[in-house]
Amino acid sequence: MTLPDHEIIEECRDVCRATVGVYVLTSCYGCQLVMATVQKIMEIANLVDFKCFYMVSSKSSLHEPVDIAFVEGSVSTEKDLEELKEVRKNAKVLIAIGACAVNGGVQSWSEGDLNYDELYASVYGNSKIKYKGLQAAPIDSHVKVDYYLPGCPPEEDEIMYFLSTFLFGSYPEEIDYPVCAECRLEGNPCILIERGAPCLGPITVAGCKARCPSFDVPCIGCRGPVPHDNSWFDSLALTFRNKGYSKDHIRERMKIFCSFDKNLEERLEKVFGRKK
Amino acid sequence: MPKKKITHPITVDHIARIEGKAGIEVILDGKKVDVVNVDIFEGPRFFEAIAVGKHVEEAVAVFPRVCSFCAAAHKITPVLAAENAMGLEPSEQTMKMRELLYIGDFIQSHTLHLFFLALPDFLGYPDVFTMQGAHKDVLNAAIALKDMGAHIQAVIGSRAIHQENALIGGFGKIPPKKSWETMRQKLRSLRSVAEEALEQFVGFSLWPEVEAERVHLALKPIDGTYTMFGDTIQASDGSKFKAKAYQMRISEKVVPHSFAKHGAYNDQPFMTGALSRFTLFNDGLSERAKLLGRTYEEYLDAKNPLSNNLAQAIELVHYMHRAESIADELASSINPNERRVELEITKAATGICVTEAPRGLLAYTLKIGKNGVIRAANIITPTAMYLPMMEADLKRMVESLLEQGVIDSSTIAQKLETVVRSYDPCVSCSVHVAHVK
Repeated sequence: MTLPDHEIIEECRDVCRATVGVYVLTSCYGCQLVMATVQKIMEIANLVDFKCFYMVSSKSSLHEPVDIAFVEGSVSTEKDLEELKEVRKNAKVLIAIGACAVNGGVQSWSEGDLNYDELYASVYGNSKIKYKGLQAAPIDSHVKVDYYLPGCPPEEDEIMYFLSTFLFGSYPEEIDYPVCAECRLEGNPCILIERGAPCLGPITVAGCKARCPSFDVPCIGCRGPVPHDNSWFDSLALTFRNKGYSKDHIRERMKIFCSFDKNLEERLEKVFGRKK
Repeated sequence: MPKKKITHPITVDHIARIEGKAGIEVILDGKKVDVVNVDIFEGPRFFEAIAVGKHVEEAVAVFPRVCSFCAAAHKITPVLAAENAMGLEPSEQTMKMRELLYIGDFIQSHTLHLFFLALPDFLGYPDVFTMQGAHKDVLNAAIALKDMGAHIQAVIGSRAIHQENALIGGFGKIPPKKSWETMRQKLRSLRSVAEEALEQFVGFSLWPEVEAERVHLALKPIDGTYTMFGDTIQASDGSKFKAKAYQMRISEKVVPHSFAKHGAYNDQPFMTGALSRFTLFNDGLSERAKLLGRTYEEYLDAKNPLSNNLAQAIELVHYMHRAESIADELASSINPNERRVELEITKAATGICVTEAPRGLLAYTLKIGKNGVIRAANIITPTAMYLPMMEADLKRMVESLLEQGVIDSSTIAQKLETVVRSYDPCVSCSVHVAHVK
């Protein structure tokens, strides 16, 4: 295991109160909503000092230094970008929270097909707006990110896990196994093999206890792609080809939540082979 | 007229305790208020544009991501629009489950807005965290109600936000009898708790500065009661029109200070949301909610947007009752083995659906090709519709305050924020953006 290359926050015990900021760029506000309503939020609010949490507090500032910064949303305007840089400057540890911050989010579904100007024109025509928009992008295309907390929305217990590890002077571990692993533990039949449902479980990071397949709904990949260089990937991802799915279909479906994944094509090649 | 001139500009850089990023800018022309802008700088997300060319089943999984506070609204409305295009009839059981899921969204959204976002204003706190010491009981009630809304949505939809179990044609998995019984039990135990919100908001006087005549628009409940589905839009000026023809009466335009477009009804600003629904259809409320509405009539003034808070509280009481009776029905009638209706797309077609989301009218138009791919999409959200009315109210507020001799810009700004919050704006929704015709 590699140690993190950022400062570890000193264990808090009773004396100090870690400072936390919750920031948002462009998103649906769902990550903050989960965060603001986790079961123990009132107790957490007593243990840490929220310096910024605009969605729930008027006592918020972007300009104060914080130990832990959670950033939700994609960079979609110049203002987002300025704010993100300011947050990075003020934060000891910066966590990208949710699909938008981690991978650009659903607003990047057309990444590679339509650029910002085309999208803008399709919606606003020739009308001018005084704010400058940008092509939606994950935050690590602009600043260094220390940790990634995936999901759309993220899981409540994972938010608690992240917060508590930091408060104990430790750091969270990355999940590197797919939804299938948890789906087996839930005892579900495999809807991809048995029904041919387009379930992205084999290539999606676990942590949701296979919620959607447990509802007999194929995984849509909202937690982003699992590392493709491990044995899980080799053994499971090939199922798509065996079930007769086309490379384009899987690409379009994967792109909802990982259009910015640098290894997207490489993953697809591992599944479908290099040639067309 | 104020004797002294305001020295500081009246601005709010970032309105706290709302869903999304917006500011307020007051532009004075000498001593007169020229214009008050609600600046929407939340980035645009182009949902209608990015859905084009994608399969409708995947598109309806993406649409809820327009907004976390009303994700179920942004799931059920496009699902109904898609079914309308395909000529697919959902089963009665499916529609009951959808209504209950949608009610779960109302309970969660109204609770969050009333207690977590609006109430700190009235009790004089920056947030709920600092209210803990003095208002523990209120917060416990709030958390219990929020959990109830989340529970309903998680049981029916798979989770409290971005419910994947609601699909075109029905549901992936249908919860068994026991789940409905538990839900009914939980709802029953919270019957009186929903009235806590009401108690909190009764007694705060409605600021006369923002009082003005206005047109309200709301969807006429389909069964003559009080719910979010319907075919006809009723206006408080007496006119009504087919919901499916909304694009003829409700228009949107681009303004330079906002990534959200501005809506208009017959070219005039209008209001939509809890106050509009209450004003037009309070006769259909549950008995208890109706009685409470009558009792506190003086705080439910259709001319005053601050009444929207109490109207939401009344709806909370109503929807807790309605949820209980639907859960009760489902507990005895549920068929967990009912199959989802198969998708059958035989020809290209357009589907339209308008529903009442927690914040007001929500309209989806989906044009689907015969291969099941989205050819065009149009979404109009409540916040975009009422933005011009909100700006007009803010202008009234500043003008009256200046007239009263209030010149402290931070006092004015704080009052403006409270007015904005009473509308419960959903900025993420508003910047999903629609096509220019």
